[in-house]
Formats: sequence, structure tokens, C-alpha cells
Amino acid sequence: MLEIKGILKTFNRGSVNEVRALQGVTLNIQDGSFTVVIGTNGSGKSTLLNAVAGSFLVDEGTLHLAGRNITLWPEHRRAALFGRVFQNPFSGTCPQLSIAENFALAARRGFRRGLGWAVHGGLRREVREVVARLNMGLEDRLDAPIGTLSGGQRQALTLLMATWQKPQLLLLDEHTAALDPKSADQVITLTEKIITRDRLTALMVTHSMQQAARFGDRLVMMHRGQLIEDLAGDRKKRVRAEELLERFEELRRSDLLDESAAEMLERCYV
Amino acid sequence: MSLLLGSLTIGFILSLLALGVYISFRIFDFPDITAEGSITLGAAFTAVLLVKGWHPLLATPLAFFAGALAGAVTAILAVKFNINKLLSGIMTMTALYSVNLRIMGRSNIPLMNERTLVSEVEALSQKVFGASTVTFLRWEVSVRDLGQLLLCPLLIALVALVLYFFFRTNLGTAMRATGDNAQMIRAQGVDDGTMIILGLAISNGLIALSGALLAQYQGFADVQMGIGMVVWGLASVIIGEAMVGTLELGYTITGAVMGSVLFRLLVAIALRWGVNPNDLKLLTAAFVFLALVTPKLIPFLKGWKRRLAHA
Repeated sequence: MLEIKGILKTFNRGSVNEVRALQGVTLNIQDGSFTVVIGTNGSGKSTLLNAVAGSFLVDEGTLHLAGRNITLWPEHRRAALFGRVFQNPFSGTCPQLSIAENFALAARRGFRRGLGWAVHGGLRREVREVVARLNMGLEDRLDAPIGTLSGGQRQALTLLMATWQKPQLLLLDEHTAALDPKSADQVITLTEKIITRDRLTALMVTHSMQQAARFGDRLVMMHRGQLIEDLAGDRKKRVRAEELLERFEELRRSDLLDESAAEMLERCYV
Repeated sequence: MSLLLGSLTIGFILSLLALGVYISFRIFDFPDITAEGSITLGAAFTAVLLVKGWHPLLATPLAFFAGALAGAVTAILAVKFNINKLLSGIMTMTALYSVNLRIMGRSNIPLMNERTLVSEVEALSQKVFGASTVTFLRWEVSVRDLGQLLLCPLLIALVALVLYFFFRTNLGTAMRATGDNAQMIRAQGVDDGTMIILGLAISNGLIALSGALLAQYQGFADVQMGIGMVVWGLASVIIGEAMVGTLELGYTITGAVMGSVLFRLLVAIALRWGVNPNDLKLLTAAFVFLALVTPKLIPFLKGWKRRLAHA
């Protein structure tokens, strides 16, 4: 399905702010799988997702989706194949446009946009039906600007929009991180429901060990721009949030050790 | 009376400018200065065609395409070459000054004796009214002015309606989304750069059309006629927003047209009061400044009042 082969990305190359965000990541995502990506802060987990989505082009390595080489495709061209939900709940929708208009935009993802009516009667009925299932009372506010809704509501709508045209791959970038606990719970439950119902292939980055343990059928862990752990099948099913936290603590300690050791060496020899 | 009719007509003609400015500044959040060059471009282009004997009904709409080309150039500079938006507009505007002089061959083309939309309207109204003046509310009005004032709003209404429907289509909605949230529209598979190029083309097309009509109305095209036009257009848009708000597309489009007409009326009143015409641009700039600052000033003043009350 998605083949990520040896991708490298360095930001601000050659400057003091140089960040080697991805240092040779190789990952194969099977069709119909739900892969969860976790990692420490700055481990490159969001960068990996953005590399797939095409927010930037990778320095080295290749990306193939369903046999097609998409390494050099611009972001908007890849978007025809991907559904995407961002960490910032305001990134996925247009605040000044109405709920219906936002869905009209999503309904044409992957198709030409011509002079056809954007919000036509059939679309409006469909949107009303889908939105009503959220039980947020939004079905009567289809013409309200989406900017008047809360972050949780907007994120739920973004998710519906991203999966409206069944995407070949659903990309979720810490999409509950900026929500209050109740909304976060609603959105992640909705996410699982949609992924299961539509049998979507999904790649989800998360900050939450609970989510990582509970959702998905495969778990990969990133650290310093590399994949360091890949749990699938039974191993993924057995994993508990506490174990993941312990693993993180271990990484943190080894990082500290690295730094203090370097400092000590510097003191002794420089 | 003739001053009133004239300022109304100019208000309607320049409402195309206001619509163009509305598209670039408000829909795309793109401070496009190209307008100052493209309004002259439209005037120059149509004037030259009219002098060559083209029919005004053909020569006028063609100005749209000339303007659209200019707008596309600005957008391409900004989008494809990553040049600052303001600078892109300034570059195109500066280049257009030479282009306009080249098109016209000199700095001014008189149209008084040419067959223009104005002369067509005059002939038509004389046929309809059967005289060269009519009495309207006890005022003697030339049918030429009356005919222009009747036909101009019709034309503008048509353009505004087309724009309204366009921005409700799939393509138009994608364009509105581009100015609102570019990240979102890219994630929906739209090339936001292309949208901006297309949008500025439409914007400057309308502005050039406005220039073509203005040249015929005032009876000449002049290479200097674009100076200050962006601020004038912006003033109209701001007045319109103050009148109808910014919430609904149909309101904002109507608002831009109404704002333009009201702005010309205000200008006419100011001139009647004895304001020196040379000061008009300074006053307009001051007006736009006030309109931009006042909304920020009100909460500040409120806080100030509260602090005074507590002291």
C-alpha cells in the first residue's frame, strides 16, 4: 500500500538551527491496516506524516502509494489520495465558509472543480444526514460559518470531511492533542468507528500512550528521526500504556546519559 | 443635478474597481497594487481599439482580458517566484506604466469624437425619450446623463450577479477557501497557487473593465488616471462592509457596489463644500486610515474609560 523507503529530511541545513528530522525511515503500511506512530518530542513522528502528505519534499528516499511513485508529487496532488486531519483543530476547515460549503469542498477532493453548483440539494441532504449522526446538533446549522463552532466540533467535522471521499490512506496528525478530554474522547471514538466501518488504511500519530495501546493493529515508535520499535499482531495487542511509558523513560535516561557523558568528556579533554 | 447624476454614474462605474479590490484584498487576502496599472490598462486598451473604429460593445469587454493578464502576472510573481505580494504588485504596476504608454503611443487619448458606449447610449436615449432633455422632479436633465445612469446599474448588477453565482460554484468556493485557509484547501486537493492566479486575473479583469468604462464616460484615457485607485477602491469596500457587514457573500458584493456609489456621493458633497480637488487623495487616505484604526480604537477607549472610572 504505502511504501516509505529510506527517507531523509534535514531542515535548515548548514545553519545553527539544523534539524535532522528524518534519518532514514523505512516503513511499509499494509492495505487495511491501522498504524499508530508514537515517539518522544522532536522524534520526527509528525515530520514523517508531513513527508507522506507532501508538506515538503524529502531530501532522499522514495514514497510509493499503491505502486505509484509519489515522491515528487506536490501536496495538493497527493491530497487526491489522502484524507488528512491536523493537530490544530482550526487547520482542517475554512472558518468563513459554512458547514455545507466546507463539505462541498471535501466532496470534490480528487475531482476537477468546475462551474457546477457547490452546495446542491443532494449534497445538503447527505451532509445533514452525516452531521446528524454526530449528535452535536449541527445538522440545523449547516449554513453557519464553521468558525463559530468549537475546536472539538470542528475536528469532528474535519474527520468526516477527510473520510467523505473514501481516502486510500487516512493521515491523522495528533488530531486530539489540542482538544479538551471530552472532545478528544469523542473524536478518537469517531475515528475508530469510521476506520472500522469503511475499512480504511490509516496512519495515526499520537502523543497519548493510552490511545497508542488501545487503538490500531500496529505500533511503531520513533526516536531521533528513526524507527526504533515496530509491534504488530499479538505483540501490539498485548502492549499496555505503562510499558510504553517505561520505554519512553528509558529513552529519556539514555539521552540524558549521552548528554552528561559528552559533557564529562568535554570537561576532561577540551 | 448634473453633478449628482454624474457622481452616481461614476460611483457605479468604479464599483467594478471596488469589486476587484474586494476580491484581491478580502477574498484572497492579497494586497494587490496592480489595480493602479490595470485600470489604466483597460482604459488605454479600449481607447486604442475605439480610435481604430472597433465597436464599443466589442472593445469594452476586451479590456477585461487585458486586465486579467496583468493580474495573472502579479500572481505568478508572488506564487511561482515567491516574491512578496506587495512587491509583486508594485513591479507589475510599474511595468504597466510603460506598457500603457506603448499601447496608447502618447500619454492621453481623447474619445470625445469617437463612437463609444457613451455616444451609443446618448443616441439610444434620444430615440427613447424623443428629446435631448427631460424634466425630472422639476429638474431639467439631459437624456444622455439619464440614459447612462439607468444603464450603468443594469450592467453592474449583471456583473455582480455573475460574480455571486461564480463564487457559489465548486471552483468559486475553492477560491474563497484559498484566502481563508490555504492549508485546508491544499488538503482537499486544490492547488492554491492556481486559485490565486485565477482570482487575481478576475480581480484585475474587473478593474480594467472599470477603467474602460471610465475612459469612455470621462471622454479620454490618460496614463495617470490610475493613481490612487487602490485606496479609492478600498475605501468603497470598507464603506460597504460598514453598511452590510461581512458575513454573507451576497451582502458583501452588494456592499462593495453600494460603498462605491456612496463614496462618490461623499466626494461630490466634499467638492461642493469647496474642498480643493487636489486634497481628495489625502482625504481618502486619511479616511481609510480612520476606517482601519477605529475598530481597534474602540475597545482601547473602553478600557481607558474603565481605568478612569476606577481611579
